[in-house]
Amino acid sequence: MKKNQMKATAITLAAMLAAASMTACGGGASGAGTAGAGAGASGAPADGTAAAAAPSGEVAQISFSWWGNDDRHQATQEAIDAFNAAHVGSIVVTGEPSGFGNLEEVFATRYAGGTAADVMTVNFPWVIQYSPNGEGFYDLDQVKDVFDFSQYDAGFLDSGKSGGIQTVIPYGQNTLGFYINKSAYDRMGITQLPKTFEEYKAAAQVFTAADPNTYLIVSPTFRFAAVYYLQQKTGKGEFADDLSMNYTVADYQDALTWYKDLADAHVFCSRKDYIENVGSEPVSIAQNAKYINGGYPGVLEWTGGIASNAATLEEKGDELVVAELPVIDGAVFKGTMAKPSLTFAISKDSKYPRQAAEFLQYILNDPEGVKLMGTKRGMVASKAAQATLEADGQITGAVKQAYDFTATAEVINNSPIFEDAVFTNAYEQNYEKFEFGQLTAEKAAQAIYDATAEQVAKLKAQYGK
Amino acid sequence: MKNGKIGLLYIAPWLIGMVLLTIYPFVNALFISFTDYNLVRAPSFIGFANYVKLFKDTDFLGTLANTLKYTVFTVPLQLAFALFIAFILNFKLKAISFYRTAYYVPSLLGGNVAVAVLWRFLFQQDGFINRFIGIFGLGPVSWFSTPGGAMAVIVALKVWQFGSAMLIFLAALKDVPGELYEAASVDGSTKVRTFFTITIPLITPTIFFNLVMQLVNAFQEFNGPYLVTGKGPLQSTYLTSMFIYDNAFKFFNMGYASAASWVLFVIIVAVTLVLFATQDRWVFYSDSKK
Repeated sequence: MKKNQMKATAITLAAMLAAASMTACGGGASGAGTAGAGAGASGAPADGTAAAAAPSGEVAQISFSWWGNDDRHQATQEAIDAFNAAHVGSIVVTGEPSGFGNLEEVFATRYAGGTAADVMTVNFPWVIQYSPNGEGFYDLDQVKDVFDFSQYDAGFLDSGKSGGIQTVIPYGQNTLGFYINKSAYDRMGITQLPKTFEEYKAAAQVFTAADPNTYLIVSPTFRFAAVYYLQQKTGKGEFADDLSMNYTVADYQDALTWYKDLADAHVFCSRKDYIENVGSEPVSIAQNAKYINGGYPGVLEWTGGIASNAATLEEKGDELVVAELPVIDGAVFKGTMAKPSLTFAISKDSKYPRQAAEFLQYILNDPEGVKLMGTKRGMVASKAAQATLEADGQITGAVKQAYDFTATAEVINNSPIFEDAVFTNAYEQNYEKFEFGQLTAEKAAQAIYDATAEQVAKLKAQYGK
Repeated sequence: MKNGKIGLLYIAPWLIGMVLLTIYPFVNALFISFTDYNLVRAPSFIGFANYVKLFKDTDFLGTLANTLKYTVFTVPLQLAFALFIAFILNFKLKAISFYRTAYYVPSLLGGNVAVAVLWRFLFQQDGFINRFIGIFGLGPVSWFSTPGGAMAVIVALKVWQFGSAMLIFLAALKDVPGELYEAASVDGSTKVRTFFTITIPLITPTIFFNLVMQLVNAFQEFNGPYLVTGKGPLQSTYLTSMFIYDNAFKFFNMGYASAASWVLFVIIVAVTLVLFATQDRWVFYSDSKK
């Protein structure tokens, strides 16, 4: 090959490839700063009297985004199909399902790019993040003649407000609980399910005698167990109402050593085993092979995930049950943590907010829609929905237990900033260094504290706290 | 219409895409790298703060070291493997087209989700690889939860995608004049000596081309490690491209991510320039005056 020809080709391609590395994160600065504009200015009739119908002859095209496992996708699509069938010629809803991975990345990109769905599923922490003044989503008070808010407890509904504006509808309460694969325990001859951490240790000895790689409890993120422990130890959530930190370096150090002791005893999943069998990022456990095969015969997870966790075990003939909350030694609080589960919002850019509200009314309050949606999103907060599901016999088994557990558990509600990825990343990364022997507990705790404090300061400044 | 204008018309789709999807974000990323920007709020100018922070950030420096290690392992291995297979496929074999296609398939699949699932199955504790080495009394190896094992898995995945380099090598091998081999044979040269004294020198321009391409690719590798090992134990497979992605789309530090992108870009350019500076010593072009 000729020198100049080859050289030119190589230089050109190398430059293009290298330049391509720059293009993923450029982001559109031009779109910045517009998030707060235009709330309520998206075409909703101001008189509030019109039925949720598009202008004459026009079919309202609405998109609906959500995440979940296959069971949730199937139920939601059935509800969409039924809604569309009942609104032929006036409203067409298109589903936009996704898995549990990269939730916020996808949401943020679509939100910033102005391509968010008309009706979107919004994680609770995102409400303050994307709508700190209530202007990031459509003002739902504009559609209160379409959506029946009276089905919700007023206090609970307030958790969907920001800046005094009802920006989202919370679906229900998510409570962190322990769920046990009872069938796996039966196979080991353990008929009395553990209620204390000492009993978990004893059960772990039985399980590991049969399979040394068994860990009794796995969780989507290691931080859940740590905060569970620290709430019981201090009686406080991780962050105060003004977003300040409630835990000290010593608290984090205690949580690290407490978890590692239990991981060494094969009660909680070790970081090494998690990386080997699950991955290095937080993820739903419901589809994990080791969980399904009984290698993890228990999960520490939100009640919102229990239907999926139970469903995958049922396919193998195993039964998932809600376990009693174990209490740490010297606890000043004997409960767990809770948060509003996923919420629903209407895009402030939607051309059809009233039709979107009608769709929300169908899936959240209407008996037909509620039946089809089922219990795949965990506990419902709508009184009408709960009555429908109970009458339809859908609240049974593990889901019924989760309802009962949610109704009685002592809880501390999470701060809206709790799930910020920086906190989880800092905790998991430094716990990992501690478990792998790269850091002492003291240094790992200090690193967690420092990273958390830095992010808290940033968020406080952003949210004006 | 003049030929020049028709030519421009033909390349217009590519040109528009290049300007909008590459050059604009490329320049925009430079601007954003000097700001604090989280996608939702307007960027605020903070000067060189992102760059200063980057060079104190042990996570970032760690990803640079990992990326360098990954590049050093994958590029030579991939090139050697691609050349070896191309050399074999250059013989007159039956069903040669089938073999060429079959060896190219991994490059088409790349690091997609299906391949990631397959790779995890292969390397899991009771997977095929551990069972295979078990036959020889070895293992099992915890591939994903040991730093060395996790790096080996993603290196193997990259090397497996040798198809495009192989095809380019194959074309180069076919360009080597047959009379040179005949002359070498008449002079009693062995196959190995012929390969190293005739074949290799004549295809050095192609080796150089593949080296530059694979090097630039390896520095930017994302899909394979992201899907198969994630950060890996102790962040051992956390590459710079993943650091950029996390900061941009997980932590929403777009300014910081853009600064990291630019640092990576400068490193890639520097390494490429060094390679170009060395080529006079080992690359032999047909029109070279030496």
